[in-house]
Amino acid sequence: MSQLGNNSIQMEGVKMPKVTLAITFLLLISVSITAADEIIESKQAEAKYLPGIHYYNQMYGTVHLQKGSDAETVTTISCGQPLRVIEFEKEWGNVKVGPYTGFIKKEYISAKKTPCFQDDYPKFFNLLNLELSEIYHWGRLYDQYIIGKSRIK
Amino acid sequence: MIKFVLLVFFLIKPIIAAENKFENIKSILKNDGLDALADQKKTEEEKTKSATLQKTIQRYNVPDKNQIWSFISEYWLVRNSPVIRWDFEKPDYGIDSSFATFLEKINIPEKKFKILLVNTTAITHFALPSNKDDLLFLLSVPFIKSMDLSKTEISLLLYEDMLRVQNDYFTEFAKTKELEDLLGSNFHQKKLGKSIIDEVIKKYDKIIFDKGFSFQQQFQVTTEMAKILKQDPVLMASYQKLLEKIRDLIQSQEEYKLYSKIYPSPEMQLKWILPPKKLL
Repeated sequence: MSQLGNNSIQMEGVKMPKVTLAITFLLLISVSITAADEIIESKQAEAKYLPGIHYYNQMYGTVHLQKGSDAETVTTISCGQPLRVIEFEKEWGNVKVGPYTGFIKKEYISAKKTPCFQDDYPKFFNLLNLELSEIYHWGRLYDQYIIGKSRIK
Repeated sequence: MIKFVLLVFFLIKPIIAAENKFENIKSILKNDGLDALADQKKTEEEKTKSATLQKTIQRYNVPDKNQIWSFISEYWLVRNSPVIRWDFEKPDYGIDSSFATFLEKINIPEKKFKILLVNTTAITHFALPSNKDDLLFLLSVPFIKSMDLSKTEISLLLYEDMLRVQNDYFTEFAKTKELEDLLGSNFHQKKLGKSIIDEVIKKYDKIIFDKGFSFQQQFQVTTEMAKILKQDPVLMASYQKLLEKIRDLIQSQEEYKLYSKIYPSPEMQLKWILPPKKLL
């Protein structure tokens, strides 16, 4: 073995200063952490659209008999309602809510319970003293929205 | 007398005996930490009571100005569902993608919006107050069909409404002093009725169906539009065409004769955006 300086480590046929080796090691760790983060994020994104228990995330909502905003109403649900998602089909989730089975727009279904206005401000919300017809119409409202977003150029 | 003293003595004796017994054992109890345990339980009980009270008080929280407007606007939509008729079957006009493209073209990225089509001539177009970073538009299908508006013209109409709502014209008119004082506060142990919301809903009705916007507000919005669109002659020409179509519509169709009461006046808007004619 040839003589090397004190700051080098001999690897087979390659001189590798300790500093370079340390930097390489740190780079490898950061790459693997980033990769792990990406795997976690993509798993979370996948979990969002996997069957199982999800939650309704708007004030009120409509469970439709078939896929379609104008399809017959099966029942009206409120924010935070747990839903058993059977499967996601394009823009819709096929769900079971209590004894009812039907369809809800995918964008209104969350994997985790989201903050609900009725829960955050219950006494203020109760001032409205909503009638059943108002709750029904509020549930219909979200399916009538045309939702969009401008993208970053 | 002696009998009395003896009576008192025999009555007090058990009490004194009990006290002596306690005094004897007191130090043992103290060494065992029982008094500390009693204190700890008392403190925990007080903490639990305080936490329960806090939770009760929190239930009386009032949303702040960043959370109230979407709630009130949606409540107004629900209340007026039979009048403005937003619950009807309609085809996909592609307005979402065309408006998104328009916003990107004029460099407004990452803007979320909701459009609610209405099947009435009672409203032509409006942007309702929303929470921060939200946009909520109403757009009449009979109105846009009467003028056969293109997607670009519809986008320009929506953008005009967007400027109005961003200039706070609606909220400045609709908010009451009572509501403003209440926002972000707590009304535990105070009287609060539904009238506070009903008063704001009345103001919504007033501005949407009766009062509309002032000439000054229209001038401000029109000049803002002109400033943004002058970079793009094609968009500017479309905006001019839109105003001409509206002008012609309100002159020819009875059901839109009150349009200028809400949006004064397409004729004036055209004058404001067109360059002054040179005198020969």
